[in-house]
Amino acid sequence: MKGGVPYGTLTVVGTGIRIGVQLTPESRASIAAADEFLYVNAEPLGERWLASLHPNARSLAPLYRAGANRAGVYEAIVEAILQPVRRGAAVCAAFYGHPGVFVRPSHEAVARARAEGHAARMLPAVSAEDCLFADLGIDPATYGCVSFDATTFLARARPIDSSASLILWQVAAVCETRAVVEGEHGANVPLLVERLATAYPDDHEVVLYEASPFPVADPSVQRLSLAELARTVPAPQATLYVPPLASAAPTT
Amino acid sequence: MRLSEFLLALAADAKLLERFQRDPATVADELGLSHEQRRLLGPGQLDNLRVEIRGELTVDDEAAMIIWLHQLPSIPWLFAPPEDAT
Repeated sequence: MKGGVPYGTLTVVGTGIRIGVQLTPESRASIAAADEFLYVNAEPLGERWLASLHPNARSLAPLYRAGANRAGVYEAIVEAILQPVRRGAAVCAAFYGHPGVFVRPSHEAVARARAEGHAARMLPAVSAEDCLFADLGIDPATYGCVSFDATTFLARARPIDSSASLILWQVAAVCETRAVVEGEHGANVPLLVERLATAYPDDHEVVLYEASPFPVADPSVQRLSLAELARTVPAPQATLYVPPLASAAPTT
Repeated sequence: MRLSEFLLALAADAKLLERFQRDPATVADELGLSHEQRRLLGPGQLDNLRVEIRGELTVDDEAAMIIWLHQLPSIPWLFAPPEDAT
């Protein structure tokens, strides 16, 4: 207690990608021990499952609206998480995947909670990248591996190392500043292909990958050439994997 | 049994998941999954399975169609917070 204001606690966890089967025992215990449980999940089924884990569970999904400024949505998520912490509650906030990988509001909530004197921590979890390595049979140690948000990759014109694996995230929303809905996504993929074509030939095979969010379904793995990618609308949650050029990769 | 109920049962019951992994046909029979439902659980059906699940659940249509992303590209001039946008 500081100046009559109680200290709360915040634990940020990840639920993994596959609903129900990738939640670690450590994270499950943190959810059970919390006074309030807040969550976000990309799938309605995941929302249903998470709601069943705690009597005081609340979805943050209503904070997302089509066309909303994404920075504003993330700020609203951070504040929704911190409000009960400031009242002295033990709060657990869950994001799908790993809570610290490509999740801005989780890091921000932990940082702000600590700055305000509350105990806050983040627990690791299974990320989409972990699933990609397993499903595509890739070891990042073999050729090295670089990973970018697709828009960051486009906007920051760094040299492309075509001898290493390249993973580009959020390709469906490349160059989008607002929350986009299915059917209105992927319009800027040709810009991404144009940039990739400076380092890879048109016939270089790339992979649009999506881990399955369901406990028993297979992932989506679409192999296509760079030229074909320019004419393709990726699935909303797709990740682009660009293998190294055979001619550029170091021999083993 | 609806597919959403089946998947939630797998998510909640490690023993059921173990049995399904060992003998999916028997578990699917026991739970009364149709041929079409079993097909949706097979390879190459992720998009169709998602459509089926969404159809079974009563959800906020707009929220269900949002592309859920949680990270902003690290380009401050492109993604300034609203209060800094003036």
